[in-house]
Amino acid sequence: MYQKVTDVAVSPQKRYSVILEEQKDLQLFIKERQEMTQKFKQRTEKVTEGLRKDQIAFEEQITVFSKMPEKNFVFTGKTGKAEDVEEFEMKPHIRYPMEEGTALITFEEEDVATNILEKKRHKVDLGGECRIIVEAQPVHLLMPSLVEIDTDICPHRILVSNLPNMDTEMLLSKLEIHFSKSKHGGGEVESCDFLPDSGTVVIAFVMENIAEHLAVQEHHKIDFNKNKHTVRVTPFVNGKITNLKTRTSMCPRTVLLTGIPDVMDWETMQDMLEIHFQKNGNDGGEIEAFLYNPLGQQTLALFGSATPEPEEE
Amino acid sequence: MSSIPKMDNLEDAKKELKELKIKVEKADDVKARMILEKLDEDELKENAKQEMMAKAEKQESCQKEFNQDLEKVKDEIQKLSKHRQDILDKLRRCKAQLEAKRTEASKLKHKFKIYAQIPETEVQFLSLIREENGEGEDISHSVRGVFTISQRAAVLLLGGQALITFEEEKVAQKILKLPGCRVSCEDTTLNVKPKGLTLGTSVKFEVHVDVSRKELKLYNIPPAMPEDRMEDRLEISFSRPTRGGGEVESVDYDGKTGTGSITFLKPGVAWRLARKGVYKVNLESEVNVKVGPAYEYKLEKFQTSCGSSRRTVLLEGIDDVEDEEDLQDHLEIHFQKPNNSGGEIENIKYISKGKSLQAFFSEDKIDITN
Repeated sequence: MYQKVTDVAVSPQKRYSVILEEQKDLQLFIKERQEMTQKFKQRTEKVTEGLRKDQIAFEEQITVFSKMPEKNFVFTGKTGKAEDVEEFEMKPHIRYPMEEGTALITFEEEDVATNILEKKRHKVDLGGECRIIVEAQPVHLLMPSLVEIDTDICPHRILVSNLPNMDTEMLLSKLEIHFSKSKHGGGEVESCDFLPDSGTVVIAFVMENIAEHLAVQEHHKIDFNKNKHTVRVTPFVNGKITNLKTRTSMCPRTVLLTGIPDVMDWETMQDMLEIHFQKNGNDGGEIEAFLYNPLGQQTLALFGSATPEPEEE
Repeated sequence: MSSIPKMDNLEDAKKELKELKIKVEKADDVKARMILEKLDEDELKENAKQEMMAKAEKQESCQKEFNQDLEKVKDEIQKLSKHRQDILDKLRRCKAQLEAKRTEASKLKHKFKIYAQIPETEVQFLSLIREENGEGEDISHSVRGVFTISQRAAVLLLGGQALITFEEEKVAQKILKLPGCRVSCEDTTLNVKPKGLTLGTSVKFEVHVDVSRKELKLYNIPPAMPEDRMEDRLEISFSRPTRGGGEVESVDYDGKTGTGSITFLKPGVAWRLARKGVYKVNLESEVNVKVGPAYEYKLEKFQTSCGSSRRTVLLEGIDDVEDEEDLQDHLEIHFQKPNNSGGEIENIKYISKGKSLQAFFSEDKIDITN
C-alpha cells in the first residue's frame, strides 16, 4: 500500500520532468522549423525573382533577334547530304605581297601542281644559250578556323531597313531630319550612314535610350518627297570577337617559283615562264593564273576561293 | 497502639481515599481527554485518508492529462516532421526547377554567342591586284586577309517534300494562299499542300586578319640569363641563315612571360619560320623555342538578319506514285501553268519518301521594287 503511493507520487514527477524536457525540445524544434520555412520562403522568392529577371532579359533579346532586318533568300537548286551540317561558309580575299624574284602559278589540275612541287628545281630555257633554275614551293596561308563572337545591343544606334528606292544622299537627309525630331521619338543624330552591303542605314543618336524606343515601335512612316513610306527600325547589334583560332592551309593548285633572276624584261620573262610550265613535257599543264614579280618590284597578288561565286565582282 | 494506628489508619485511609479520588478524577480526566483525542485522531485519520484518496485521484487525472499531452506532443512531432519533409520536397522541386531554368538560360545565352566553326576552304592565287587606292601605308608589310563568313541558309528537305522557286514573287505568294493543289500525273492525281518557309536568324561578318611578314612571335623561352643578354642570344640565333634565319632588325623579350618577338629585315623569313613551329636557340645550352606568326585581327561588317523566302515555296504531302524524276517533271509542268496559278519556275527539287537533303538558299539579289 505504501509502495504504491510513492510509486504514484514519484513516477509522475519523473514523467512530468521528462515531458517538460520534451516540450522544451519541441519548442526548439518548432522554432527551428519556423526559421527554416522563413529562409526557404526568402530563398524561393529570391530565386524566382532572379529567374523572372533572366526570363525578361532573354525574352527581350529574343524579340530583338526576331526584330532584325529581313533578308530575302531563294532556293537556287543547290543541295547537299542531310548529314551536311556545316553551319558557316567563308569567302576568303587575301592580299598577298609577293617576294622579289618570284612568280605564282595556279594550275587547273591539282596533280600538275603536286608534280611541279615534287620536282622542286626546274630548268627553264629562255632561248639561245640562256637557261635559269627556279625553285617550286608551296604557298601556305593563315586563315581563321574558329571565330567566337559575343553580341549585344547598341544603346545608341538603330538599323533602318525597308527603304524606298531613291538617291542615297537624299535618303540619308530625309532619315536624319525625321529621326532628329522629338515628335517622332527621335533626338540629336550623331551620324547617319548607308551600308551598301545590306542596303540598310545606321543612325547613331547622341543620347541613349532613344534607339531602344524607336526599335520598340519598329514601323515608322516617313515623308520622302511627299511620298509616305514605312521603314522598319530594328536594334543595332554589336559583335565582338572573344576568341579566334587559325589554321594554316596549303593552296593545292598554286605554286610559288622562287629565285628568278632579273635577266630580261618583265613581259618576256612572264611569257617564257608561263610557256615553260604549260608544256606537258616539262611536267606542266593548263594554267589558270600566272604572275611574275621581278627583283626590286612590289606586286600584290590576290588569293581567293577556288570556286569564285558568279555574282562576285 | 492499635487504635492509634487505627486512627492513624483511618486518617491515612481517608487521606488515601482522597488522594485516590483525586487520582481517579485525574485518571477520568485523562481518560476523557484521551477519548477526545482519539476521536480527534480518528477524524484526522479520516481526513487524511480522504485527502490521500483525492490526491490519488488527482494523480490519476494528472497522469491522464500527461498522457493526453504526450499524445498531442507526439502528434505535433509527427506533423512537424511531415511539414519538414514537405519543405524538403519543395526545396528539391525548386532545385530541379532552378536547374531546368538554368539549362534553358544557358541555351538561350548560347544563341547570343556566336560560335563559328569554319570549314577548310580551298584558296588559290587568282590575279594581280592592280590598284590599291593609295592609303599611304606600306602595303607590303603584311598579308591581309579579309574573310567573309556567313551562316549558311539551309532547309532540311524531307521525303515527300518539294521546293519550288518561282521567277516572280507574286506567283509564289498566290500559290501560298491555296489550301491545296491537285497535280495530275500519268494516271492519277496528287494532292499537295503549299507552305511558306522561314529561315530563322543568320549572321554575316568579316574577319580581317593581318599577318606580319617581318615579325615572328616567340613563346616558352626558358629564363636562362638577364634580359639584355637574352636579347643578344636570341638575335644571334635568329640571324643564322643555316637554320632558316635572316638579318634581324629588332628583338623584343619579356623575361616574366617567357615570350618575345623578332623582327627580320627582309619579309618572308618570319612566315617560313612560323610554319615550322619551333626554332633552335643557343642560350646556355641549345633549346627549342616555340615560334608562331604575328597577326592582328578585327571584326568588320557584323550583320544579323532574319531570313524570309518570298519566291520559294515548300510543297508537302507528295505521295511517290512514280519515280522521282517523273514526279518532279509533273510538278514542274503543273506549277508552270498560269491557269493553275503558277508561273515561270527558276528551280525545283523533289525527293521521294525515305530520303532527306539539305537545300541551300542564297541571298536573293533581285531587287523587288514596290
